Amino acid sequence: MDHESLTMTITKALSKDLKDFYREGIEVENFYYLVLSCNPKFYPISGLQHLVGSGILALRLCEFARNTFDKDLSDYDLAIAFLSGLFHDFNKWHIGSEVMRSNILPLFRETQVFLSLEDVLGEEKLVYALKDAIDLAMHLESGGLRRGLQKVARYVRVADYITGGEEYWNVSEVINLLIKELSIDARYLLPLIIGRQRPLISIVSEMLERRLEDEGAVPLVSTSTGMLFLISKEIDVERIKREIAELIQTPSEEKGEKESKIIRYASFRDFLSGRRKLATYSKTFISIAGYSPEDIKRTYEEVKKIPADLPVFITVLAYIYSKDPNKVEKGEVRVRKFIEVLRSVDSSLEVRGRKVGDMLKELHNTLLSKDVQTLNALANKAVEFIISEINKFKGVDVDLIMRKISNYINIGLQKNVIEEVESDEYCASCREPILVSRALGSYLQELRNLIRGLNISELFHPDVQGKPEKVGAISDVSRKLSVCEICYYELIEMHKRLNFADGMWASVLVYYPAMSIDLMKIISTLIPQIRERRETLPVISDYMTSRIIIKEASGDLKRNDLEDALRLWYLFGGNLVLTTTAFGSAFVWRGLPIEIEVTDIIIEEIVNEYMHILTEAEKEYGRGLRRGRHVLFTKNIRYWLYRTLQNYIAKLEESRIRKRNRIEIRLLRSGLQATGLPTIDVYSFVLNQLKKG
Amino acid sequence: MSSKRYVIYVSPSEWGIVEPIKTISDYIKSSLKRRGMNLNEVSDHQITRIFPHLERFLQGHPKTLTISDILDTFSKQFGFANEEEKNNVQTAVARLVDRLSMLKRRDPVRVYKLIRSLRTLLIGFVRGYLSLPIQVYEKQSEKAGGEV
Repeated sequence: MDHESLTMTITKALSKDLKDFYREGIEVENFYYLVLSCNPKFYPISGLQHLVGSGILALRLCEFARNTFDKDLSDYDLAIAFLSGLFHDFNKWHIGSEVMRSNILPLFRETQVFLSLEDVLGEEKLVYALKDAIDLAMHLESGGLRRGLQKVARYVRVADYITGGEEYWNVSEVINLLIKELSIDARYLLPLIIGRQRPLISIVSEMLERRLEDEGAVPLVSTSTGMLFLISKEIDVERIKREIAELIQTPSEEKGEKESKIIRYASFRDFLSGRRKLATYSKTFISIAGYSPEDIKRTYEEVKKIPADLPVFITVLAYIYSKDPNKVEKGEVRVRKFIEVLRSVDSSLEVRGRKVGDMLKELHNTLLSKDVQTLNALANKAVEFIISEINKFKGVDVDLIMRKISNYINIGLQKNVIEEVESDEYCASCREPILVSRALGSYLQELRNLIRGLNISELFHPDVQGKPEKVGAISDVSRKLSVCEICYYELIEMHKRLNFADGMWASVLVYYPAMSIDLMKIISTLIPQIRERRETLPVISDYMTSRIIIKEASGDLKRNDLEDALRLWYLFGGNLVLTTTAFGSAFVWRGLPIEIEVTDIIIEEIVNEYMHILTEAEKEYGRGLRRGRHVLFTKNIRYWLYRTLQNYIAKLEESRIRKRNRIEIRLLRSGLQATGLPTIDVYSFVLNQLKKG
Repeated sequence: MSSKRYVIYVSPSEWGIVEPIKTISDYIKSSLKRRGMNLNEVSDHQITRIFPHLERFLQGHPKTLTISDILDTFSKQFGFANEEEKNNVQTAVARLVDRLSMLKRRDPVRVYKLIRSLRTLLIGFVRGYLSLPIQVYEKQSEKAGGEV
């Protein structure tokens, strides 16, 4: 196509509309109020996900069909597909078709989506398209459609099923439906399915989606078990997998997020002159795992200015190298290895001692007798060697990782899915075979740099639980246990890149059963834009499990964070989960509209009431009471939940007591009466707080 | 067309309690206004005269007597402008007492807490701390207007 695709035009307009809706204060009574405040099914789901989602999905399907197997479809058909997807459940707003035409369509005319469609179709055609779309929406399930609309109706019906049918949380059901209902040839489908759930999948899914789209795949739908793309040509899956593996392999040092530090080598003189013992330096200088190449380079730059310090510096490097990060080799052996490397520059270097301390002293004495030129050459060699060792320690082999990754993400139903990687060692953290092992001790040491106040000696490991006589502090077992490269990447590397890891508060918007990927993309780009109060806000859109993870706070969750999270829930739909374990493996779908990891009786009651109303509404519907009071309440139920909780949270007091190293919501609820009737509870609480203030 | 919308929604199950309270608060407000009293001069005790009766009802006082006691108190303290107002209030009180007796059967402990919350709510309504409109979808019509 020579011009921008209709999907792009509409998604842009939609994103502008949602932004305006937010700017005007969320509670403006316009078209989006209708969409966002209703719960169109008998389980928690937002109008944005179901109504707008079906519209976009139908449009995507039609557009793809036009480009490949059904070239008769016109722009007009595409517009009808979108509009009828959007309006297909207008009876859930409990209005008749007359009210729809006279009251709702004028509201729709004010939106950017309408204006952008008008640019494409022209005003006259668009009026007909709206009329046709409503016709189609009314007869979507019942038959009796005009022949011209029948072709489009198939796509809209499929889109409706996918975004609303509960069984479509499973991507294979989606594939079945597409093949059965639309008779799409299987070669046009490219599913990405989760093999084993782990944080890596969430982290790389965004990149996967982008790469596949660059290759020409059409993003269609994201479910809890994977995502589905439409393709019209062959795609090189191996290359994409290789890119992920390379991402895991390269350390993030070049990004320079972390300030490099200077090694304070001067104090080591006290040991060399015999005033202090070597053991006093055990925490001053750690193993190479604790330093980055930048640290070494920067210190060396400083040392170069004072040639007299070169012998001490080289000795300190030898001492650092003598500590094996994997705790396998002995110190003496490693010092010998280090000196062996230096001997390639100056063969006269020789050390006879047997203990590390003696050897270091001897090395220092030998170095003192050398001239500046030799010392410089030796220092160069030593720095080069240490840096290469650091890189070797932090680097991972790409091909092996690729094999391992195919266990986690299966792209395009490739064969040999469960190709077990063989290894003697198993990870102490995730229990998977280890390709590149890292000692648990050094892993925890790096973790300590990232998480303030983490006390490693207090951690326990399940492997020592069964031995009560050796109640195991982690420092006792960390020599024997190892961690795999993917665990390392997930926690250490990703923390550096994203500034987010499990343990921090995150609000997660979970979309169940399935969600249009285009819509998720709009949401994840909008979130940083509408939350101006933070400079850096990691938003991870996890297309592989249809959820969006938004970092809230690294310490305690405050009232502002709660309010923000609630606003996002109302605006962008899905089920909100406020949690500290967003990457957790058992985390796919929770059946409640709002869940918080900390118990709060009011929030629990109010969510219970929400679910109760949905159950009652379903019963009423079953009895044929199509305008029963519970059924009617579902029209504004999301707004009710949002508004009531917002009022409740706004009146909570923040606790002044700060507890160290504990994650919790620091809020106080004084004078609360929980009666089981949530709105009454909330407003009596609000009034009590007003009286106090 | 666009307008700010601040409405307190309550769920259908709560409406049975909130509506009578709202009616009673409207009645108290209008009676105070009729007699030219300033809201600042009226004590919380005066506004919430019905609650001792409701508490006694929860302890086992008969339903009909409670309703008549409450209406007596109202006519003494606030007076009724006309028969229609009296009927309205009477219906509201009866509905409230009915609902409370039902809740009492379900959970006798929580209903005491509810009474305390309702007291706060009534004061809030009368004093105008909560002046937003309250809405629920209550009416049940059999007309299939929205169905297609």
